[in-house]
Amino acid sequence: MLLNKVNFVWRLVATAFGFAVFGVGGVIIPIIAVPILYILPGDSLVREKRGQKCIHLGFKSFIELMRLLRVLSYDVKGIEALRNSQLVLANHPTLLDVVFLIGLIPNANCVVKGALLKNPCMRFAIKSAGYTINSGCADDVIEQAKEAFDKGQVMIVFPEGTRSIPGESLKLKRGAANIALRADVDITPVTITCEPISLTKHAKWYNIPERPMHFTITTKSLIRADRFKQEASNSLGARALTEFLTKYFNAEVAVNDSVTK
Amino acid sequence: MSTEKETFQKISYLFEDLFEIDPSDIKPESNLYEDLDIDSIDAVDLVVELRKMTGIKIKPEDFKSVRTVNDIVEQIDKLAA
Repeated sequence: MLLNKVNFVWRLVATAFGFAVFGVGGVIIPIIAVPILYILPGDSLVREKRGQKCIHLGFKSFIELMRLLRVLSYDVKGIEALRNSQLVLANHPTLLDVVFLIGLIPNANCVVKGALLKNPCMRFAIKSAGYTINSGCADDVIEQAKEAFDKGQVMIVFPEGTRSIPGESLKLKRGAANIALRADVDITPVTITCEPISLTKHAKWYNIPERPMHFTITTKSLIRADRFKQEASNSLGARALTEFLTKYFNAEVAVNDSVTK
Repeated sequence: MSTEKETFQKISYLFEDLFEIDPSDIKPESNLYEDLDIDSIDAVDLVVELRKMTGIKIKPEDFKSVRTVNDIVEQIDKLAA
């Protein structure tokens, strides 16, 4: 009983520390790393590679720190397949999902909200890593994604567009399907589960679970997008593919839930 | 048939072909994003198709403020005039 209480308080303090490290690191690391990236010799492609590697290492270290502090543990299934993929589509239960995925993939690209560019630290970090910027112009995002695939980068997209609402079925937007169809790439589906579920949408950082979170990240078999291409229009293809992916992710996540519980 | 009705009819067909939207759901006051589930990529496709259909050089900016089916009709008729 007492031990449980001590463990709870420990994780609460460690979680607060984690949020602080992430916040402060997000300012300090770019201030130091970005000028170095721009000073080092090499063209913008080399800089982009290095920038992505920096963020990868930062996120990987953060996850390891949280693991050492016993805030969380994790299992990754199919790391090789994950690193060799083009378009990674994952469900999005928690705040840490993107930290995990970028922490696992050294050459990851991802779509970031245009609004994040307003923060000067973020702006330079995002720019130096060449991340895809969503400024609300849909065809522009698809163009940037095509370029990323040409450069051999792994594009991470959460098709829900935002974190899932706990207890509700997943609702997917059509952006991910449109990227797959219009850039002509196959899909590597990834499921993420967190047991006990925590750090969800609208959750407060101090509402920590009764025991450490355990993440399971599973790379599934490839989904061929070209099966969904339709003569008539990409819009219809995207609708069909999104419908397929919605069923797929809801089924996979439900199976995971029943296994872990 | 007035131009306005004609344009509406054409747009109605276009929505059916392009997005498989049931024609009975398409009303002048239907909101594209909320009622007809059009997203930003669809909007880009829609502008391309409207350009083909009307032969008018429509710029994406012309469609920035468009919210309903009727807004499209008005915009097209204005550009055609």
